[in-house]
Amino acid sequence: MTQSQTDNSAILLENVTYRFSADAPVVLSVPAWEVQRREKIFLQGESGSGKSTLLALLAGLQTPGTGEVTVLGTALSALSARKRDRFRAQNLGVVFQQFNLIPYLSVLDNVLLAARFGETDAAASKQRAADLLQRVNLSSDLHQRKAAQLSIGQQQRVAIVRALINSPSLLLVDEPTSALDHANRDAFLTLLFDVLAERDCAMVFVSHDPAIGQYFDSKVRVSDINRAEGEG
Amino acid sequence: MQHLTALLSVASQSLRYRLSGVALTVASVALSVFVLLGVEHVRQEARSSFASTISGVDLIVGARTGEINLLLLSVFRIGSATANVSRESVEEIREQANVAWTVPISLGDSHRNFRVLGTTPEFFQRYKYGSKQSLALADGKPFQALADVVLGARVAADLSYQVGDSIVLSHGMADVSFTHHDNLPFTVSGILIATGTPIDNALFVGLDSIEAMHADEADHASQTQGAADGAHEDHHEDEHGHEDEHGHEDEHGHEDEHGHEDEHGHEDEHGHEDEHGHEDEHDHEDEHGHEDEHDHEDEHHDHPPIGTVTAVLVGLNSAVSTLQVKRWIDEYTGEALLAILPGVALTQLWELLGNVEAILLGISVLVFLSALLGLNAMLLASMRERRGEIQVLRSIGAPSIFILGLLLIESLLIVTIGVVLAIVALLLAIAVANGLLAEELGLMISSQIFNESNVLALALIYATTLLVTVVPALQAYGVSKGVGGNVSAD
Repeated sequence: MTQSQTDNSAILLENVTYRFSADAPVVLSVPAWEVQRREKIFLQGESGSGKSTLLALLAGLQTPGTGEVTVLGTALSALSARKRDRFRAQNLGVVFQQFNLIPYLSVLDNVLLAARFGETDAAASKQRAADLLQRVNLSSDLHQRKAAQLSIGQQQRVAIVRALINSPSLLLVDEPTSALDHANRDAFLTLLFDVLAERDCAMVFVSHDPAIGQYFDSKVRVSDINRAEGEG
Repeated sequence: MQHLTALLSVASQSLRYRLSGVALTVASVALSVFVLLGVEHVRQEARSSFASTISGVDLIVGARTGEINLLLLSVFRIGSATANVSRESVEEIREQANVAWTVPISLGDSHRNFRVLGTTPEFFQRYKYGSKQSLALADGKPFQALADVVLGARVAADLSYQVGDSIVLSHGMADVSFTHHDNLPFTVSGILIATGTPIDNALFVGLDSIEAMHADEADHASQTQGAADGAHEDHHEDEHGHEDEHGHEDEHGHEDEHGHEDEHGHEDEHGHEDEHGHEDEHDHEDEHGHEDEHDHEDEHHDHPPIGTVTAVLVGLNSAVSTLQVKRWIDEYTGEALLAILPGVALTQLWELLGNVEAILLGISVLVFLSALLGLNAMLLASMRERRGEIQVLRSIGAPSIFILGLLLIESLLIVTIGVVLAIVALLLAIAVANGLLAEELGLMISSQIFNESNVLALALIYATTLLVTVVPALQAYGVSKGVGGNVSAD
């Protein structure tokens, strides 16, 4: 990725609007929003506030109707679909609420498949995967197990490893703890911050749960940046 | 493709993970393709087997009637002749420049509901079926002596006859015919191999033997004439009248008379055989043919009068002259004759029986549609359950071609395994069926199952598979991609 030296923002949104179809109401309208590099931000919003749409735009999974989404200095709309896929693989890590893994692939293969799309060296990524899995307390006897056989908590930890395997500069996380109980939620968040503290990675963490906000320095409500009237 | 190995590895793990579901889908695809190809194959085979009932014969000539009537009578031995072909006409046809051979056939007698076909030994060389297969004897030899009979395979099997057995032929078609030609018992000289055609259901005797049997009746008539001179005409009429109405009370009396007569007839037979041995065929015809012809025409007998035949099979020197010879025969002035091209008439008859084919075609189409719908339902269900998977792959930066390739490889693999299993099963079924049918019926089902419509059906199955896989895949892709108001941004 080539990147302007002057551009220090991880995320820059300008006059972005999004609607599901041409005649549907605008569900997301962000005049301006910026996230700095290495910044970890908590984005709180109820379901329907447009937060998932916002994450999809940031991940380049969806494209805005108007405006410009610039991630890590790269204007996503300037990329072809294929290049956007590659950009996502190499620079972004995504963790969803649930169903982060391919159920029929082993834990290790789930991680290595992401490495392959990120076009990192196979041997190196294998070592990194083993280290990271160790780091999130997944013992090596679990590495060859099918993802579907893991508990939700274990799956979410594999999802972190998978998101970080290509050393992304931006981690997009969408309600990763909603399926976890209280103890598991806290363990997950602690682990996430520990792992992130070791690397230069910005994070946008989306949740409806204000309690999670205590882990973050910067907190934003989706309604503060989204000017769209309707429910999304 | 750059990620091909990953693609194959993921696809194989995916299929193995869903093995029971995949196996069920494969089995269901295999079953519907098997039924589809099988029914369609049977339809094609029925048509071609029908069309190959007779081959190697260029024209069939009979007295003027409907083309299909003549075909039914001469090939399937269904119905009876309204008029016949005289030996003179047969001779004239034979003398035509383009005619290579003629084989007369004469119907009218039966043996326990199987019809007897009087012909010349040349019949066995000329009559072909299927793709120009000759009639062959499973046992024994063709008829030579006057009292020899060759049996069709089914006749021999149903009635458990062996070469050397002695049988008695009956006049007309009814099993309980009282007019048994027991003055001339026949000896089975040969049994034909099964052909799967009406040949299997017939008995074959020499034309001379037929004439000998009925000439004997004529002798009997002339004897009566000698005994009661003036009453001859009436008496003769009566006798034949009884034969036609088998249920008639007087029949018993008649049979007695016949049986009684038989003692005389026995001598006559010898006399006749001797006579025949010495005399030339034409004399023989002239001697008995003329008076008999009148009687039979009047009374609509099943068998042609002596000296005439029911139909003539004609072979030509060159197929090019077929229409020319047909025209000559149709316009023949000596007698009202009709010549048909067996292939054309068979096709017409098949079209007449079009319902059979229409039903099979209907079944084919229904099976095909249900196969297609079943395949659709299964693939759509699996696509739905894999939307999440598509989202995950998208989120880790899998190119769209990878996702599409994954889904396509899996669907095509399922369908291909199903189709291959179906084809193997069908070929095995045909082999097994051929093993059973060949002995029993002489039917050989071709293993050429890839006719035009089957290939088309398979192509449609694959096209549907592609459609059913690609459309939901693109939809899933579209959902995750969203539709921007401003398309140029994409």
